[in-house]
Amino acid sequence: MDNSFNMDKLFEQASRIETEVSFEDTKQAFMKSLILSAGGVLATKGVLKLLTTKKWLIMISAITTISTASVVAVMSFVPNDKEPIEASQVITTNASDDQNIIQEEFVIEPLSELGENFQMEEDGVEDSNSDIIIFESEDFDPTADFIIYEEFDNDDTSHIEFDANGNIAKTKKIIPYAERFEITSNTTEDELRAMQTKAEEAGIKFNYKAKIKNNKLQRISIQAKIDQRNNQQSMSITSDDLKDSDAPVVFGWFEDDKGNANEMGYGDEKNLKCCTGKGTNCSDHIHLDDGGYNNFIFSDDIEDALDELVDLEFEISDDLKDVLEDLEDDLEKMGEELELTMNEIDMSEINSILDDLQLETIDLMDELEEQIEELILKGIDIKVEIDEDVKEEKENKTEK
Amino acid sequence: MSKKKQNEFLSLYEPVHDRFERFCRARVYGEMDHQDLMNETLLKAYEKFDTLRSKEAFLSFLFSISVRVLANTNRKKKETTKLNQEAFIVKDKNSQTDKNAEVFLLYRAMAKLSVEQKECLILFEITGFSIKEISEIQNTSESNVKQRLRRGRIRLRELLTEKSEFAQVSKGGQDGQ
Repeated sequence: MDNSFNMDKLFEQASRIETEVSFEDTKQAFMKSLILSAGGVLATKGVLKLLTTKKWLIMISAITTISTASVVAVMSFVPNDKEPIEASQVITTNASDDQNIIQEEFVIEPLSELGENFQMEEDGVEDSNSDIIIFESEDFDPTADFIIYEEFDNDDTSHIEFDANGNIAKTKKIIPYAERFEITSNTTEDELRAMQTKAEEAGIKFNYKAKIKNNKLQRISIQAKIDQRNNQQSMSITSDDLKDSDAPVVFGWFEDDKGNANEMGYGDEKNLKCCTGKGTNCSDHIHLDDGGYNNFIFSDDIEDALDELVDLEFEISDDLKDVLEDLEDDLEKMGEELELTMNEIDMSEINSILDDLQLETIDLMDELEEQIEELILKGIDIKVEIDEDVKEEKENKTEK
Repeated sequence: MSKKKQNEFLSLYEPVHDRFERFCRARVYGEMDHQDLMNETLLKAYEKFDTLRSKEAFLSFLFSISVRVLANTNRKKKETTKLNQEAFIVKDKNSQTDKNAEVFLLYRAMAKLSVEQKECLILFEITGFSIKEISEIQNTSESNVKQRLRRGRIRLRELLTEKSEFAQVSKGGQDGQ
């Protein structure tokens, strides 16, 4: 009960408490606010301009920052030179047939690693004891990187499907070379020249360098290149142990319907191309995008190449994801900073500016009120004078 | 015309100024300067003055606008201004009597109520509006207004009895009577 009595008393006191702000003060503040809101004379334009300029500056700087960040993010999406190649050429062969062969993955080594194992003697220099002759074609480039192909395993049967009894159930269709050459220690220079002629007739730029000792071909380096509008391949083959090796260096190529070479191959046996489609459709092959690429990567399974592609896409996605996340974080931070800045402007700067304006408007308001009062007073006087004139006229009329 | 409108507006406002000022003081205690609320409300009311149906409804019209201005302001605000509250108290200590001190303690207690309850109590107890008028101002039903008043008084009683400083002041007041 006491509490409720106290509350009622408190409310009564609150309803009668003296006001802190008088009506006149409120009226003045209201009038000043009206002037400001209507875009009045005193510095309103300046204030609005200042606020607008500040806001515009902040907005423009924020937009510029966001645009720059977007451009940087877009540029980072552009693939750089470090991106791996699109695909690798895959050539598989069939080992079950004497005519067919399976190639394993080859390791490609640059010339610098060949080093001492492969040293050509200078032209014209002959070893009186060994009868060494060096000959090469005109356009042979001695500075090009050479490739040594390791011996491959003929036992790969990945292209063959076996049934439950271990019999061959299904094989991929084997496409033979259009032209095939075997280079052994018995190969002569004329045969090399004939190879070159045939290759060039098929549209292959073919160059070689060979070393013969004791009428035996010991070392051979071949540079072959297909340079067509939509098809560019280059191949470098080097073998420096023909004398000691029973396996020949096999070089060949596949041709299109017009007899032009469209793909080169290397292998000890005849066939290097393995297709799953009908006819001669080799859609399962993946071709290199050359761009000056000299080396082929041979894989015994297409799936390996596809796995590389999948990994590549994953890497790109991660990078892109990181960039996007960073961009989102930066944008969020900028938004928070912008909001803070806007709040700061609203809270302090506007109040200080308005305070200054209020001081300046007080004098103007006083002057305006004085002028208005003077005008009102003048109006009353004029009315009185007119009435008196009218009275005189009336009096004159009545007299008349 | 503008001058005429201003004079008409101010002539309607002058008699209700005291009630309006007390409402604003109690309503925004500890949140903001009540003069800002008054200025903003008057500007809005003047802007919409042409929509006023009758001069008798000017008081409700003014308070309705004030309530809506506050609602919009609270949506924008993200933090309470404790600094303003402290400055307000310092100012009041320089000029107030004991009775004013009790009132400001009441304001402080009411500040802890919900917005709707606080508004209802202020409009009913301090400003003197009827329940029907309050329902129109707050745009709600009369039963809701009654409920808010009842619950607000219960909660306010709890808050006031909890505060030790108020208990000392109120005891001194009672002894003085």
